[in-house]
Parts: sequence; C-alpha cells; structure tokens
Amino acid sequence: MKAVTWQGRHRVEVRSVDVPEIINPRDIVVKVTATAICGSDLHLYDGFIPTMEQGDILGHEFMGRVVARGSAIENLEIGDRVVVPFNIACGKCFFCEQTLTSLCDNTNPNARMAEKAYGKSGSGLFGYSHMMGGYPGGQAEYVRVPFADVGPLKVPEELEDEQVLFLSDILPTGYMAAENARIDHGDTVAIWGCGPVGQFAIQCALMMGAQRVIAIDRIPFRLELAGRDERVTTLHSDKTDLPEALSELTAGRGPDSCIDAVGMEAHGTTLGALYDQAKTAAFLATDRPNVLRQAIMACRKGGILSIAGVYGALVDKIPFGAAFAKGLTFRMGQTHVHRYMPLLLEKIRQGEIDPRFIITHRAPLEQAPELYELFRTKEDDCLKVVLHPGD
Amino acid sequence: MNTILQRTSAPTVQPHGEPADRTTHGRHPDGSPPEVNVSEGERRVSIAAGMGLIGLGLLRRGLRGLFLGGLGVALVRRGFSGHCAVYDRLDIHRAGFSSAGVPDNEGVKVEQSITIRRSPAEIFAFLRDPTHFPQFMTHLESVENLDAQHSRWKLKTASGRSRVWETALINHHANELLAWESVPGAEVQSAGSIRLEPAPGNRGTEVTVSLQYNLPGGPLGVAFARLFGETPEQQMREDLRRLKQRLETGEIATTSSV
Repeated sequence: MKAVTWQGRHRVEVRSVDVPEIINPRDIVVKVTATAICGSDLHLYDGFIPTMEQGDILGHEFMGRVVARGSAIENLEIGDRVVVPFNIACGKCFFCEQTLTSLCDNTNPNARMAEKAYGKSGSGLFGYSHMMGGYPGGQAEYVRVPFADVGPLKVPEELEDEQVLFLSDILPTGYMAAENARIDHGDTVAIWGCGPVGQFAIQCALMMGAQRVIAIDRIPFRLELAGRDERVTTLHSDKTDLPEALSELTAGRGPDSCIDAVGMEAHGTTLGALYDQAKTAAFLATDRPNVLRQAIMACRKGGILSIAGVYGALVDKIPFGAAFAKGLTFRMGQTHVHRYMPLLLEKIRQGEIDPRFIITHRAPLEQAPELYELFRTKEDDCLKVVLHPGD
Repeated sequence: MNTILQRTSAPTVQPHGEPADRTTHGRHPDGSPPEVNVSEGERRVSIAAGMGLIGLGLLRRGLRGLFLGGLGVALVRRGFSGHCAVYDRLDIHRAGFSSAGVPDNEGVKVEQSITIRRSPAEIFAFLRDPTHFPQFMTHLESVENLDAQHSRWKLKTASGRSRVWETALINHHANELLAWESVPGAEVQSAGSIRLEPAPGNRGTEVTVSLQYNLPGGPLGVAFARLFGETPEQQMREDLRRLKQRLETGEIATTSSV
C-alpha cells in the first residue's frame, strides 16, 4: 500500500509499505477514505519532535471503513464507517475511567522514553514519534487501530467524510481549548493562532457564551476567516502592539481568558521571538514560547490561560512572576478526543457546526510532499489539507 | 540479609530445605559442638568487627574499654564457632541459606512497584500461576508447572542460550503475598516475592515485586549488562508495565506482530 513517510527534516515521501494486520484481539484495520495534515504534523516536518525514525508513517487525523477486526471486537462490523481519535486509549485504566483518555496508562509501548522526557507517559498517539508509541499513522491506504472497542466512532452515512473527519483531532481540540478557558457569559476571550484549531476554538468560545473574541494571527487570510463573525475582533500580531491593543480593547482589564492555539513554534518579530529563534537554532532551547509570554502578560488578574498548542520540552524566559502576581490559572494538555466526539458529532448533525469551512486544499495521497511544504510556508492561503487515498 | 523471603511471616507452605526443628538448636545433649546458625558471610563480618572492637577496647581502657573488648571477644567467638546465642533464642537459623535461593550478598537484587486497577484477589489469581509470567516477562521463554509448589523456568539470555532451573513456591498468603525461590543446586539461583496491597482512595492495588538472582555469568555479567544493555531495574519496570496492561486491558500494547 502507499503511505506518507517521514524521511528527515522537511522531507516526506510517499512509499510502498506492507499492509498492516491485526496483532491484538482488540485491533481493527481501517481502509482510509480521508486523512488530514495537522498543524502538529508540521512540528514533525520541522524536526522539532525527537525520536522520529526514517520511514515512520505520518498522520493522526483519519477516517475510513473497517476491513478487519480482532477476536475481541464486538461493537464494530466489517464495512462500518468510523472516525478514529488521534490518541489511543485502553478504556480501562484510572485515567480512561475519568475520560482523560490522552493520559491513558496502557497504550504507549515506549512509555519509558516519554518518562525520561516527562516523568510520566501519556497515551500512545498515531504517527507521532516513537516516544509517543511508534504507531504507524493514518496518512496511508490502511491503518491498524488498537483498542478499537474504545476509540473509533461510527458515523452516519448521510454525513460526508469532510463533515466528520475533524472529529479525530482538531474539532475536539478547539472545543477543549474553549472549555478549558472556563468561559462565562459576557467574557472577552483572546485567542492566539487562527489556524484550524484556533478557528474552531473561536467558534466554540462564542458557542459557550463569550461576548467577544479577539483573534490574533499574522496571516491576513486566516484573520479574514476568523473575522467573519461580528463578535470577533482581529489583530495582526506583527503590525500591532499586542499588549497595548489587548489592554485598550478591554479598557485596561485584559482578556478574561487567553487561549494559546499556536504552541512551541510561534513566529513573530518581537525581541522575545527573535531570541527564541536564535536559541532554538543553536539547540539551546527546544520550544519558542513567544505566545505563552504574551498571553501571561496580557491576561487579566485571576484570569485563565488555556493552552491547546503543543509544547515539546523546555521553554525559556517565561514571566512566571507575572503569572503568580496575577493569580492566573493554567489549563492545558493533549485533547481527550474520546470525551468530546459524540457531543460534537451531534452538533454537526444538528447543523450547529459545519467544520468544512477550514478546508482549503484537497488532494490524493501522492501529493502529500508538496502539500506539507505548502502548509509549512502558508502559501496559497493554505489552512487545511485533506488527502484522499485511492483518488 | 535475604529480606525477600519473608520467612518470619507465618508461611502456609514450608520453606524449601530443612524444616526448622527446635531440638537441633543450641548445645546438643551428647555434648557435641554448638550448632552452626550463622551464614558464612556473616561469620566473616562478625570476626572482623570483633577484632576491631577488641582493638578499640585496648586503646580506650577503663570500664568502657573493658565492655567494648568483651563485646569484641563475643563477636569473634560467634564468627569462629558459627553459633549465635541471640539467634538461638530468637529461633533464627541462617546457616543453610546458601543451599536454596540466592546466597547472601551475591547476585542482583531489584525491587519495584506499580499500581494496577484491579482488586488484590484478581491480581493474585493471575500471579498464583507462574506459567502466566512469560506473558509479561519477556526474558522468560516458558514456565512449566511440575506440581502444586514446583515449576520449571526457562530463561532466554542475551547470548541466545537458554537456562533452565527449578523453582519452589515458599510462601503464599491469599491476596497478599507470593514468594518463590530456586531449589538447591539450580543453575540459576533466584528468589522473588510479590506483595499486594490495596492502593489508597480506591486506586486499585499496589503491586511490589522483589527479585534477587545470580546468573552463572556472575557479577561481571551484570556489570556488563548495566553498561551496555538493559539494567535489571529497567527490565523489571517494563515487565511490570506489561503486567499492568495485561491485567487492566486484557492485552499488551505493541506495534510489532512478532
């Protein structure tokens, strides 16, 4: 079968590899009908995530049809159409029982690697380095899905692939970002990053009662898309004095909650951003936490910081004194996709959300290398790429 | 001190080797020398410490010096005779320890814990049968039950050679404790115990495994493994992780079909 493989920094190739098989009783094999490139795939593409190996199959946003199932699978039939969460959860451990599925104890076969970096290991992830389990990803014609009695969600035939594909990651991630921000009616929410997750976080924040959303990015197309709703004020991060603007827009109070939908590869022209670029280029730091710094400084006293963007390891020069002095609350983490999928599927069915508005590029699997590069450079107003294997 | 074996807690199964018999302790009625109840290593330590105390006593002199010197003499005597009156009174008998399990101060000793979201009874039921061990202990090739207490264990070594030895269940408290050790003369000397305790706050069960073993490769082999391969601690960590996966999810997470 064909699969998108990681070959090194800024190099992905479509290669011919073996079709995956059932290994454990709770496995299924899915024939992929649609898969997407995620902003966090760019962290892999840019070589920011350790323990990638040449030939690893990428992709953690995918859906398709069940073509094989293990002996313990009773809830799914061959031919069922499913969306698969990007994190793998056993459904039985202490964390899964609380639906904190991204913290699952039992699904990372390489937990020892993650423990070295993080002290404890979270769940295994599809196509996201060996430290996260080394599971082959979904940018392929077929993919093996372990613990399939817990993860995959059956979707109704009347909904198109593109309507439900983003249930696998970014729609729940945007939703959890807004939920973590603990929005009250009348709140002003500032959101850094108007990529796919940021766009969904904006929608969800408004749905949860935010009176106003301030959307921040440096790409005009993304700001334009975010600003379609009149309750959204957009700020261009390179052309605005952000601290000043955020203070002014809230008459000196600061946003009630701040959402970081950017993560460790923040771009920017501020002194802090240049410092981060220099440090990471010299391998003295791993992450560029410019957004985190700005959000801590801008947030109102007693406010909440919700972090949806991925951080990999060490961050430098965080104004922790400011966070302490203002009594901020930090809420963060990988998305517990399983927790949000049924709820969000219902919202899609009811027409409350139509996630298709973020898709800008569609292509067969073979074109993945060009589209990774396009997505990285943000040329051609590229916001979200959906790949269709077999097209 | 071989703490793994938990000999002091009332065993339901007799320890392997000679059963403790009170009449054999102390001076025999026929006047033969006092029975040896101190292990070899401990006897050597006893002699050295005793000599040290005698020396110290001579230097100090006075009442305190006399006391230290006296204690030294007692220790030296204990070392040479191999008989300890205190052990005798406490019914401790350690001379035969090297016949089964692992000799004192030899081999590798590891202890690790993990929390498993299952009741002690469920975990005990699984671990009571050592033939289940190869499912999560990847270095074990197979375990075969010989009778209710004895089993034959087969180990895969790094060199590809397999080693086979016989093990006896020596302690067994329902839902609390299991302990094994190799029988005398085994190619691989080993002793291990598993303790189960309910975790606080309904978190499941805290499982603590102690393992002591002495491979024919000896300390050199272990030092080599520590330098270039998986340490015994890492190995046990991974084994326990697989045990948890097996018991909580019914299978072991993997990306490999072999």
